[in-house]
Amino acid sequence: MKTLLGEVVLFNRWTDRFDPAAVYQGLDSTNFRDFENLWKPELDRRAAEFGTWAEAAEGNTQDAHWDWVGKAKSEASYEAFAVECGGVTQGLMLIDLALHHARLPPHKGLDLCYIELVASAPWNRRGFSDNPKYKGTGRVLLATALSFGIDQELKGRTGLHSLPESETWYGPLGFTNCGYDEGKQLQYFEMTEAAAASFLA
Amino acid sequence: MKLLFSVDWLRSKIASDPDVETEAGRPLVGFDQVKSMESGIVAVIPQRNVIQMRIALGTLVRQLRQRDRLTLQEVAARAEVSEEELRQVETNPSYTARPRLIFQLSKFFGVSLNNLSQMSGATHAVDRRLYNDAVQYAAHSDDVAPLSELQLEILNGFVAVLNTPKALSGHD
Repeated sequence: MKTLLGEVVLFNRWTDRFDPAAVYQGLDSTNFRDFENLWKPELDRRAAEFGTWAEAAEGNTQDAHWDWVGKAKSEASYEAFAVECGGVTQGLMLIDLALHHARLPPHKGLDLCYIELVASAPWNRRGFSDNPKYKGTGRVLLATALSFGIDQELKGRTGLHSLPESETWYGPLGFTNCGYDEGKQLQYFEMTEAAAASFLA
Repeated sequence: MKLLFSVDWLRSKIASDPDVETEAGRPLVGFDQVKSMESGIVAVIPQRNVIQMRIALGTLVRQLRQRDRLTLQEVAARAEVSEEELRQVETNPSYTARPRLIFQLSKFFGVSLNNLSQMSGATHAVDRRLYNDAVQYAAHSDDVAPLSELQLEILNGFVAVLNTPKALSGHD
C-alpha cells in the first residue's frame, strides 16, 4: 500500500526555484509506469555508454532495474519509497531491514537500516543529462531512510554501498567509508547513531 | 511513520549540497545493447580479441603513468586503487580488471569510462572502431621503452580519439 509520508521540496535547476514534492512509502502502478515509460527509455538510450561499465559491475548478470522492480513488488523484507514532483516519480529507494548489521563500533552487530538502492530519475542526473532538472532527491530519500530507521527503533544506524561516482557524496554527510566490499564490488559506507543525529540536526 | 525533517531544513541543505551523483546500491541502468548491435556499431568479440584490447589497455595505462612521471605506487595511492591490481592491468592481458579500478583510472587519467571499460574486456560487446584504434595504438607502441616524443604523440592521439564524443560508439 502506498502512503503519503509528507510534503517536501526539490530544487528545480531549470527555473532556479524549489518545487513542491511528496515522499511516499510503498509504490503503486504510477511509479512502475513512470519507470517503464519515462525512466527506462532514458536508461536504454544511454546504455551503450553506461551499461558497459555497469554490466561489468554486475558481473554480467541480468538487468539490474528489472531486478529491483521485482524486489519492490515481491519481497517482504524490502520497504520501497518514492519521491514525486510534478506528478512524476523523481527518485526511488529500497530499504532492507532484515539482512544487514552494523559494522562500526559502538553498535557493531546490531540491526541497521540498509539502503539496498537509491536512485534519481535519469533526467535529474549529470551522468545522464547535460541539463539535469531536479537537485535534492538524494538528500530527500536519505533523510527519509533515516526517519524510517529511527521509526523502526534502529536509531539512525544506516548502511549502503555507494556507486563509485557517488563516493564523494556520502563521506561529508557523516557516513564512514568502511572500505571495499568484495562481494558487492563497491565501497561500503555506514552511518552511526551519532552521525545520524547530527545529519538530521 | 513521521519524517524527521522539515521543508525549511531541506531547502537550506539542498541549496548548499554539492551538485554530485547520489546513487547507491546496484547500478540502475539498462543493458540493452541489441540496438547498437543491430546497427553494426558494436560487436561481440572472441577471447583472442579481448586479449588484444587488454594489451592495449595495459600499454595505455603504463604510458599515461609515464607521461605524468608517476610510479606505479604513486598512481595506486593517488587513484585509490590496489597496486597489485594496477600492475596486473599493465602487465597481464589475461587479468580481468574490476569495475571500480577501471572507474578510478578513468577518473584519474581523464579518459572515457565507457571506452576504458570496453578495453578491459569486461563487456560482451565492443565498439568496432575502438577495437581497431586500440589494436593499432598497441601495435605502434613500444611496451618497455621510455616514452619518446613520437610515442607521446601517438599516446595523445589515441587519448584524444578515446575522448572524442560520438567518434567511437555514437553514444558518448
